[in-house]
Amino acid sequence: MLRDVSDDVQQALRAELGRFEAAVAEVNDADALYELQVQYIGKKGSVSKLRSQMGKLEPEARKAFGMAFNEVKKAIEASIEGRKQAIAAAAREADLSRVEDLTMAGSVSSVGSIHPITRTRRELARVFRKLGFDIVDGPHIEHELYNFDKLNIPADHPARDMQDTFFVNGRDGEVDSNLVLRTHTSPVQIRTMLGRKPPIRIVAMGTVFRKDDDATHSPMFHQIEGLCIDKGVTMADLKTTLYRFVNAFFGEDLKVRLRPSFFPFVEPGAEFDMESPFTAKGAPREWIELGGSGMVHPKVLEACDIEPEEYSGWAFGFGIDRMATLLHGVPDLRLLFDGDVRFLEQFPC
Amino acid sequence: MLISRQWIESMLAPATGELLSDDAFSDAITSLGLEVEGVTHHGAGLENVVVARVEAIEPHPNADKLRLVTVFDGDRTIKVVCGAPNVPDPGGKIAFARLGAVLPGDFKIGAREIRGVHSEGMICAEEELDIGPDGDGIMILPESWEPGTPLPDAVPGIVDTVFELGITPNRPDALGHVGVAADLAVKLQRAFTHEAPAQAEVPSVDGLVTLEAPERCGRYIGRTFEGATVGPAPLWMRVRLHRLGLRPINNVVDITNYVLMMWGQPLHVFDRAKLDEGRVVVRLASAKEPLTTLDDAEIELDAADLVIADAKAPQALAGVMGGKHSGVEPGAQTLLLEAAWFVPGFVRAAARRYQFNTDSSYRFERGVDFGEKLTGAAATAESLILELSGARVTGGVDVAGQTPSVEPITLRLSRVEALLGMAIPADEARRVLSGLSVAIEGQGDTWTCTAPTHRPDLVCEEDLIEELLRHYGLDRLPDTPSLPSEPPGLRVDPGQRALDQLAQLEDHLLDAMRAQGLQEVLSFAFTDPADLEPFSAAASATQHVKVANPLRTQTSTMRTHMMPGLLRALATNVARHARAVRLCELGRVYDWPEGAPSGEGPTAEIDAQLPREQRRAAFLVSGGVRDAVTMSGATVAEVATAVLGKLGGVVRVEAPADERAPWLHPGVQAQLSVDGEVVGEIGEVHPDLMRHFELPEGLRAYYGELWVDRLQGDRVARHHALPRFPSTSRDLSLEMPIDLAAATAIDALTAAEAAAEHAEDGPALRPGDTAGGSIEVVDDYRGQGVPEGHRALLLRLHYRAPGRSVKDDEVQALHDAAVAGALKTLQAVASTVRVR
Repeated sequence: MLRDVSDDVQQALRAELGRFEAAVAEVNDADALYELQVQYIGKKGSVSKLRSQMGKLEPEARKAFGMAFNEVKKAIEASIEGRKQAIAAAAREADLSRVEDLTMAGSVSSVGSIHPITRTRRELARVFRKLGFDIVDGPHIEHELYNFDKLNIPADHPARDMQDTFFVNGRDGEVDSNLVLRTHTSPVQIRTMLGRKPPIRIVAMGTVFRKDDDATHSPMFHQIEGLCIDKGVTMADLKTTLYRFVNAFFGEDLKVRLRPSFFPFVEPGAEFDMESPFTAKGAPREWIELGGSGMVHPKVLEACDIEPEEYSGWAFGFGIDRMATLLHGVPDLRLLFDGDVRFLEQFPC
Repeated sequence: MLISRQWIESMLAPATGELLSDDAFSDAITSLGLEVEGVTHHGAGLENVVVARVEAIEPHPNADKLRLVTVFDGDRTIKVVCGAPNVPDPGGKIAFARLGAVLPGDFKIGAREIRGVHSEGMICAEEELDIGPDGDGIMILPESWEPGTPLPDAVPGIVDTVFELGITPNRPDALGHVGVAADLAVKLQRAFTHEAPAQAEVPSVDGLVTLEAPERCGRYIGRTFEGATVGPAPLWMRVRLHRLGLRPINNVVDITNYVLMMWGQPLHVFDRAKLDEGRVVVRLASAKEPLTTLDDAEIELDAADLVIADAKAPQALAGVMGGKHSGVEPGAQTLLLEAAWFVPGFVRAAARRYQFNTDSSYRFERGVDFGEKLTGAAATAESLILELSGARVTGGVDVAGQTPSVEPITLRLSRVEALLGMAIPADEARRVLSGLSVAIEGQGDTWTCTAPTHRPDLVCEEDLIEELLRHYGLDRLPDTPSLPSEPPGLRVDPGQRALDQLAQLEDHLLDAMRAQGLQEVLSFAFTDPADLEPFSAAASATQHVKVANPLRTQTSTMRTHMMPGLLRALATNVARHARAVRLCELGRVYDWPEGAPSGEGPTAEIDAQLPREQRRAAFLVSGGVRDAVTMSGATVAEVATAVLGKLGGVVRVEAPADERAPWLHPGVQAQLSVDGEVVGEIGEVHPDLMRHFELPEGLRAYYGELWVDRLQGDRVARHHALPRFPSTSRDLSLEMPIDLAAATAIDALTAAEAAAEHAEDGPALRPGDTAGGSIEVVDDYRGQGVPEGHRALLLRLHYRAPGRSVKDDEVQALHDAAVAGALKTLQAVASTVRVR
């Protein structure tokens, strides 16, 4: 009798296994598989329920049933695991068969850009900071006293003709206001010397204005100017500093050449040229005219209450726009101020 | 200024070694600070142009205007076809280009058929040889010249190299060949051999020159001549003037120009017969006195003008230009030569008053010599007048006015070394300065130097040091360590710190704008006043800063706003192509604010006279006409918050100001704030402005602007504890008018919540859980179920306690209080606000 019971239960186990096998073959997703798992071998699953029958069996039969039960449960578990893997593999397969055309995204460009002049200004600032200069700034609209007089460019002197000047009306349209759009960054020299005590080692950069408009001149452009005032500063220092600047800026050993020239606020004055970094290998050396330089004129020092017998100094200056066009190969200055996005987007870096 | 190599060479002792190449010569000039800006080689190919004799003239068989001329070129007798009307009779001498000659313009002379007649060579006009301006007829050469002589041998100066020099304003001495040659002599170590001719002793003429303005005219040499014949100058002089860019006129005028180019000293010659009483008075003009100048300009003189007058009327504007009436023309027989020195500043003022920039005023302004070079120029002119016009000198005066005193300059050799960083040997220094006619007294370290009167630029020790350096060579300056005695970075200068922070701030802003895909542009700081009008409408509008002498009206006013520049750039881009643009710019705006600014420090007094300059970071985005890029006001809000976000602080897009910005669309604008302070504005560009800039109908652009001076670039972010307990949220649907900003609703809720009662450790609106802060906008619904002109704004409020989880009921109580309080506030502004 008891054996019979055992046989019945075992048969029921087999039947559950058979039903399960049939059902699991139909299952295609993980959630349904989990449900099936609960339905059969969960706490209240149909297979688990049969286990409660075990208590009714003889010890001998109990052992046989136990073995059969474990067999069936293991078979179901293995089947679930196998099915799980098959489903994951199919899902992976399906995922991998997706196609998305990324080349379409690449055609919409919104890469920002930094203007070549700004880029050049930043690079200049970086190099001159490294060479021990402070970067300073000043107003764009200046008084003639700072733009000219204190720079040893007296009124009614032909030296004023060297710079075509935009004059600015004063408050309420006052005509003889003595105001100008600064023609160079040099008034910043004056402001610095009036405001600080030597040693002074500054670089001023910024927008300047001259009444000039053609293919090679823009009425607004940018200049950089360096000033060093200290005891025992010499023209040899100036030349060496320019040499170091050029090498730091271009990253190669380029020679610097000075030629005598005249700028009212320096004496002796010189133009400075640099060896072209763009000359082809083996080609003869070419020089690029960069700007002006010289020893600060004693009248300028005196105008700023610096005693020329105690302190000496040098200054130099050149155009940033020209440097930018050189560096970036821009053929026409006018492109710089035109705002054409097709030009601007050429300078993402 | 143009310089003839041949003329310079004639003033120097012959070179000991090989003659310098033109390139090396050019380098030598440039090394003196006289920059060579151009070099032209003249006369190449003209060695086959020779003096020839006309033998016979016969008509051309097939052409009325041509003739057959038989010439003898010293070698052969040749028949050529000639079209010139002025072929001299047989025996006359002409310039003949033989076969093989190459004329200027690479014109090769070969045998040709001209109207059926064979012609071997060409009879030349000046213009064809580029030795003069005359192209109307062939050149007639002096009868004494030998046939066969190459023309370049007969006329020195035909073959020459001409250098164009850029002379800086400090070197008036180099505005003539004598000055350049003297400087080169020292550089090249060749003797300067040029000398002025001796001047004959002549009787003084009483009353010839009356100097009424000795403070304006430092010296006046007058010489009188009789029996002059005014005619063409000799070929050699005309060629030289032509080479130097001057047009030959007549022998007397050409002599003054020739001497000008030689000595750099402007001269004038009057037809003395046309001078009332044959005398001149150097005086100030009376106001409105008339003068017709040599170039036919009729001017009314100013009382500040210095004139050379005769007994009655002005005959020249001193140092600037001669008068028409007393100019020397053919037929003049009696002459008055003027060699004078006028005070530079006054000549400059007069030249500027009438906008006459003449060779003469140019030199007087810069300062010509009142000493030996003036004497030399007068003597040279005199001897040439005698020689070339056949005149005789009858008398002269040399009247002195006030000339600048020449102060001695102390030169210390130790100072030379201290300033240059290199020593210049004493004997070299002495050689250079003596060569430049600087008188030296003293030995050892300290010299007392006196500059020559032709070097008005040498006034201080540094000027002399520059002379030494120019000649010794700037290429000899040594390399030095060039270290600052105290690197500036080691000092804490508050002014510098502020400048560095500002620079860093601008860098941050630009980098952030660029990261938003914006492209930086640079616009002109001056603009069209018409473009600024819409910006002057605001109540806070201030005075514009005007350029007194603009290039064009379109650039006559300093910008008060960044938008016009960006809109111009947009218009340019739209006109050229139709792509989307995303532009940004860092710049300044300028105005005269009310009330003078107050400042401190040594520049305060000047600064108070200057207009205000404020810094702006601005950007403009617009979809292209063709591009499939859509933009809205939200785009610019996102850009603005991202850019400001880089600086730290609490960034908010605030409701627009009650008084809307007139340059922005009234319904699409907002303000930006950081930590509660308004720092900029954003919105859609006002459609009227789009029309003003002629942008296509339907195109929209969005603008944002940050007021850099109100921003802080050096915020150091501070850590605060991360939330450890979750927050609980409540949704709120507010029905409100569409022009009531979400920010206003959020502000009202925040304020009401803050005012409500809170348990010490209880829940509150605390940021930290969502990127949007403690109150997020979830939805903005308009349409069915919402009244016209209204929207349903769905907000989500996050409540959190710092040290524990929150309970539903305490959150609900707080939320209800916040909503009730906010409703009250909002209904006061718009009565239709309600909770849905």
